[in-house]
Amino acid sequence: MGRALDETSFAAPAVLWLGDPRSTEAGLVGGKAAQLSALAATHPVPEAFCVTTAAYAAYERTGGVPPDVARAAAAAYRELAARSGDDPARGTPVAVRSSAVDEDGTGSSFAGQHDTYLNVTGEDAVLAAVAGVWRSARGEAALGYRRDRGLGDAPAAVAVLVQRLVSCDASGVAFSVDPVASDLGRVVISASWGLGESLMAGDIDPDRWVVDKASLSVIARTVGAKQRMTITDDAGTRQVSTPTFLRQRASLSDEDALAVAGMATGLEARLGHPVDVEFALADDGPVLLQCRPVTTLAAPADASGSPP
Amino acid sequence: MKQPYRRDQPSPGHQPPATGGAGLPPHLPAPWTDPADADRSFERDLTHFPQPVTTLDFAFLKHTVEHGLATTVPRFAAPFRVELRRFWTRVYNHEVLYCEPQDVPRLWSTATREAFAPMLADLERQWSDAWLPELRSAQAFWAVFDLAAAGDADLAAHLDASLARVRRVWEIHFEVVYAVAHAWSMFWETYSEVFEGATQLDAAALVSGFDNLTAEAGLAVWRLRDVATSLPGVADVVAASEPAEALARLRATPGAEPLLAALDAYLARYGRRATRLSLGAKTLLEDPTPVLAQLRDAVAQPESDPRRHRERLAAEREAAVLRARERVARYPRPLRAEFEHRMRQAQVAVRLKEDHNFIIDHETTAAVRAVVVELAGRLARAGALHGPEDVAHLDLRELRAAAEALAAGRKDDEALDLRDRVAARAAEMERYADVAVPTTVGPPRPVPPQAARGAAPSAGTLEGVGMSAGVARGRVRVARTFDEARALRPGEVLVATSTSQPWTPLFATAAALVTEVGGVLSHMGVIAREYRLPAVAGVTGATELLEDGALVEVDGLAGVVRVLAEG
Repeated sequence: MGRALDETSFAAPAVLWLGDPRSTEAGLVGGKAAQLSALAATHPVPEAFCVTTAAYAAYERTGGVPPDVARAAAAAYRELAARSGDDPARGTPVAVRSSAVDEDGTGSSFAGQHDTYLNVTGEDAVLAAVAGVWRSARGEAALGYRRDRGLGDAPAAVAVLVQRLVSCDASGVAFSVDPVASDLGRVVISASWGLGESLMAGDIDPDRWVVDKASLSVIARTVGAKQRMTITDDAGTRQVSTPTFLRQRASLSDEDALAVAGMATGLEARLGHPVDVEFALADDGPVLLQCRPVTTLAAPADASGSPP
Repeated sequence: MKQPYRRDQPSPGHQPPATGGAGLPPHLPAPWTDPADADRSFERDLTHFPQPVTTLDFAFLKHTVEHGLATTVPRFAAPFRVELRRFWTRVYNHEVLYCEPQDVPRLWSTATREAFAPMLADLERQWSDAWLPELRSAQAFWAVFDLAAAGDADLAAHLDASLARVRRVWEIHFEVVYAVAHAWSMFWETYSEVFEGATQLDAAALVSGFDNLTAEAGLAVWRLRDVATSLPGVADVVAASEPAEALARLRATPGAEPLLAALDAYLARYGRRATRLSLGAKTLLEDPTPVLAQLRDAVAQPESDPRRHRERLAAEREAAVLRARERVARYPRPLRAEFEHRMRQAQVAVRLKEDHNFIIDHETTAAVRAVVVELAGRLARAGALHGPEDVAHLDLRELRAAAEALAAGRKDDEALDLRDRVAARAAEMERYADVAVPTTVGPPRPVPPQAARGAAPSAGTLEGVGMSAGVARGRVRVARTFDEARALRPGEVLVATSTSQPWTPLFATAAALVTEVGGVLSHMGVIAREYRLPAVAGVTGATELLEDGALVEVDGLAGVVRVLAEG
């Protein structure tokens, strides 16, 4: 972790697509993107490219986004727009998120420590968002978080994930175990209408499902107040109060919730550890936005609590 | 879910502290016949009955309106009903609550809304497949009965049958009214949540500009204007005649036949309405003077044509709908679908608000009036009444008893000894005609009256509720009755207690409208917007505070009337 940014980094590309064999290298694309890249072939992961740690090294050295990095990122963005069926000249809406090298390590989630930009459209805006993520990685909040966890007080190498924005009705988080009760036999889902920001901020009361892993059935369902929700705006996003009609309705059908639970248990089985999954509910089912190891379990996984 | 309140029993918690009728103005006697009324709260119904009502009209209101409202409690879990009283010849409302006052809005929007859910699923279909056929069937019942040819016994039976029919018609009335109110409030709920800070006027823009019978009848007057101006010399006769004499003069005018034919067609289609809701009010078919007055105003404004407004209004609506959809598109699919649904229901509701009024309040009343008029003529000929118009001073029980006595040929029956009673009631009408009566009677209601915003104390400015956007200046024309409103000249600001449907064509003549009651979704609001007429409602005491000839500026968006110069 935190490998030195020496001359050899310059040989690495400034931009890598998710799914590219080199994109599983956490030192190059960060933990989050490496994980998603490994899952891209088998799971519904939105198309994305990474602006790599090599590009970050150049940014750190010069204090700005170097022209060759900007050109490479802009070209990748145009390609992403074309792949999304949009006019490359006008662009396509994307989410711009950090993917730090030591982020998503099993000890620290880094959730919310770096700025995220949703619904960014246009080359200039995307480049500005990339620079914004890098700035926030060197900001006081992120450094404090690192210090508190003994990760050193120098910022780690930070890659940036530029992801096609999933147009979604609802989004949420699923834990393949119950992180509060430390119950390994249950998937716990929190979801709300719109984009995930209001939910991630943690200050709303979401809808909740508890799903039994063994039988893949809903054990409990609570419709939360979902006081606020995040929707796209002309540029970026906006938090609005949730219309009464939506507050009174569950943001996922039970069928959707079971699909999410199935995705979480499948990832847990494949990766060999409990996972914390961020998802968006798109037209044809849940889409995987992020997959991290569960970092808050009180005790190590107890085999006796696992499903057969 | 168990109802949280008892529908079989009014809430005892609503009873205000007993005052024993204290606080009545010294010039007025205690008005009630039921001593319990002394401790009840009453509010004058200025919206529907700004003028005194006769004994017959009030009995008809009890028979129809009070009955219709009462049925909504058991049938639709309405948390309240209204009892009517006639105090000093005016109509007062007493609300009977079936829950604690603070729970009314919640129950209204949960239990009652749920009861209306099947109708609100498709209001258009509910109207065309259920309500309208039943109303048409009732109208057919009246249309096929030959009043003049009927014997006295048949007429008495027809009166009974008519009164039974009309009760069901008024049950439908409140089904429509409540469904319309729910459709609007559901649309407003979602609209105001998606467009934070929006006004009801903003929301109304999305549901305005559709055809309805009231607007259609108003615009038809302008088609008559076109006919009049296309005939050489005929428009001059219309312009130069007193409306009451215009018909006779037109009949004597060579070349006026096409206008007379068009007028007949107008009256056949729209004439079963009167200028106020009363069994004593002549319909336009009986006396077309109001139509001829409107025609005269229209002829005087050759450049004006409210029909153009409708196209603009519809275009503005479509633009507003598109803008709204752009914003709503940011929300999840279930909300987008619900927004479209609620908007559609509100659009239908605005039309039904006018159409039910046209058919029920006006046409059905006209049908019952015809029965009453026929009977009144026979009672007068039998000597039971001085003249047919005296029937206005009988209640329904007396009227039915008189009809039966007449049918049975019992000339000396006391049911036909009506002259003294009628004289006393006529004298009462006379006595109170110009007496000021209080707006509220009894202990204060737990919920403040709707019009409580009222006139602001600030000098020269009256505040109300913006009903139709736009700013206009003009001289005040105060009209407490439709007759007074006929004095309205183009460019004047019409100041009224409230306006009913047949006032509609005046909206094309007025520069702006100010009323004491009403709101965004009132009939006045709907039609004022159709005419793009700046309008402010809920200006308490406007007809007293504003004087004829004063120059005022009306801001229909801000809901403000500014006095620029006294009259």
